[in-house]
Amino acid sequence: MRYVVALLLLLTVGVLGLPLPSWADDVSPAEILKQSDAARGGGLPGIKWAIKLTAVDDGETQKQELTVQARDNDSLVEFKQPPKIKGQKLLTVERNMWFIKPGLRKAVPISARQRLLGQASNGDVAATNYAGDYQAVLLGEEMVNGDNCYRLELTARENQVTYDRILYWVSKSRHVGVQAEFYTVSGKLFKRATFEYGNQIDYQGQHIPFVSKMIIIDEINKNNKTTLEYSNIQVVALPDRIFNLQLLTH
Amino acid sequence: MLKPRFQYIWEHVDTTSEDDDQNDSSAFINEWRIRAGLTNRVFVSYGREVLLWGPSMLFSPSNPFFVDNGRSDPFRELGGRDYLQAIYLPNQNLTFSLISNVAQGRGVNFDLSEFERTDAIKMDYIGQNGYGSLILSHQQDGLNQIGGYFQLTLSDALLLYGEGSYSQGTQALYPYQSVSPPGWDFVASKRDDHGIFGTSLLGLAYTFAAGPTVNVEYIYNNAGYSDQEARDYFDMVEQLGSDFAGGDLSVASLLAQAADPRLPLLRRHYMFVQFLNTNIRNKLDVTLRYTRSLDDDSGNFIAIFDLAANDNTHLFALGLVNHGDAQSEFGRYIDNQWLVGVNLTF
Repeated sequence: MRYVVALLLLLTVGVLGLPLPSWADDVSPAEILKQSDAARGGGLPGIKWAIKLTAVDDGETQKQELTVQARDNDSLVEFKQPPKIKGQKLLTVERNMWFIKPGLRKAVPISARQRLLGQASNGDVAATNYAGDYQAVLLGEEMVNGDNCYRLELTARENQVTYDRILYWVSKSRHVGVQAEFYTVSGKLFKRATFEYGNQIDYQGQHIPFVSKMIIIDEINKNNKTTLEYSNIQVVALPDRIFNLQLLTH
Repeated sequence: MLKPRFQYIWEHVDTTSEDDDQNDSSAFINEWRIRAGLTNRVFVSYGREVLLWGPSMLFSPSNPFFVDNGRSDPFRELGGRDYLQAIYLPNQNLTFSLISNVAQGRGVNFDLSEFERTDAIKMDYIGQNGYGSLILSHQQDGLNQIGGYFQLTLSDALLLYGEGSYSQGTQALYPYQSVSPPGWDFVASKRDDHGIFGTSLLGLAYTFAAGPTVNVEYIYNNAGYSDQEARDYFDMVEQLGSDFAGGDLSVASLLAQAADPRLPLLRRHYMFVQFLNTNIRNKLDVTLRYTRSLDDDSGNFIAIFDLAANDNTHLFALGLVNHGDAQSEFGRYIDNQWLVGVNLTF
């Protein structure tokens, strides 16, 4: 009987947990972007994950632990460790961001550009929605660490997003972004990021690889490096109250 | 939510006539709340809270409960007041709140007046690139007030915001010379005025690529004192202070009222600038704030430093320097004030 159950389970996973289909040759840059967003929390009905953030800045190392709950363009980041920041929250609703500190109670409006820790901006820890935020143009194909990738140029649709221009490499076989370069308005490269996908989520019958590590390197001072490690990923329906400023602050 | 506090205060007061040391200790609960979700969209709560809102940095003119938003001294906790609240979320963009301040709690009325219940209806809307709030409030035996705030995200670095509150007539107290002792009346002479009185604030916040954020705010307070009213006010306070120091205790209540003339700011036009840089070398937050009265050219400068010495310990320091003559808003009381402390978290 035990073997029958195991066989049924295997069949169920085999039928429902379909592998990602290959992209057609004429796949649009927008579609590439949309699928790669899912592996970084974008476009899902609701998702939770934990992040361990390690920042090396001028030889000094700082560590933080936080949890993220995200849905569409909304996210709630709660700081867990170290004790000096425990209880702080970062709420993003559409393009609006607030920082909530226990004791102060007043939610302070902030911009996506404000730094969180090290090289990580507030916009970096929330779910990625490049498909909504950026216009993508396919520049060609390139190998990145042995992975054949689409090379995309992303230009901000509006000026409210964290970065003006991004070069983004998306794996053709895995449908995930593996490398990004972030540029200033003047065209200067100021940050570079690489992504690893050791996690996996199941969504709409598909196994979707999910980001497990993001490493951001400061291009001005390459010794400055920030690493975000993602774990405990759960796809869950998140109600409106999670992202309601009034309920969070009063 | 429960926030118990133990407080020990040692004060050293150094005046021209004498030095004095004072000790005081107390244990209390500054904030607590019980909330019940009737559905996933309707919540009711009761408790002692500090209700703060609005995007402005100097103060919150739209808030009928707490005009002081605690930003000028983030290490001093505001006293919680007792509220009954109901919150309804019809959708992800809209929130309706019914808020009733039913008891004084640990809040302080500087003018020593009796507590008066205040009720408010607050409607919040959040859109893609901004949000806004409308607040209708009524204080028992007071005026109806309409207030609100908005913020627009103009870019990833630039925010535009505004905040204000208005009423027909004003409860602000104005000084008038009188023939009867002590020689002054301090009365709400414009309470039944048909004009609209209130405070408007418009601000911009810009975050530089290197990290710092600068806020610039302009404030117009049309119920504030004119030059003549300000001269009368300072003359009155000076005389009452002198009478009180001379042993005339009958002026005490008028002097207490003068400490809170029911105006968020004394005069009419102000500029405020704030420089904020957080996480300098991942451990230091620096806030520099400057408020200037454009009517009497007095000003208030505040520097706040918060250093994370390790994962559990914050060292903080706050320095305040006022400038202006003795008959100006910021120059009248304190020349400078300093605060240093340690914040331990476990």
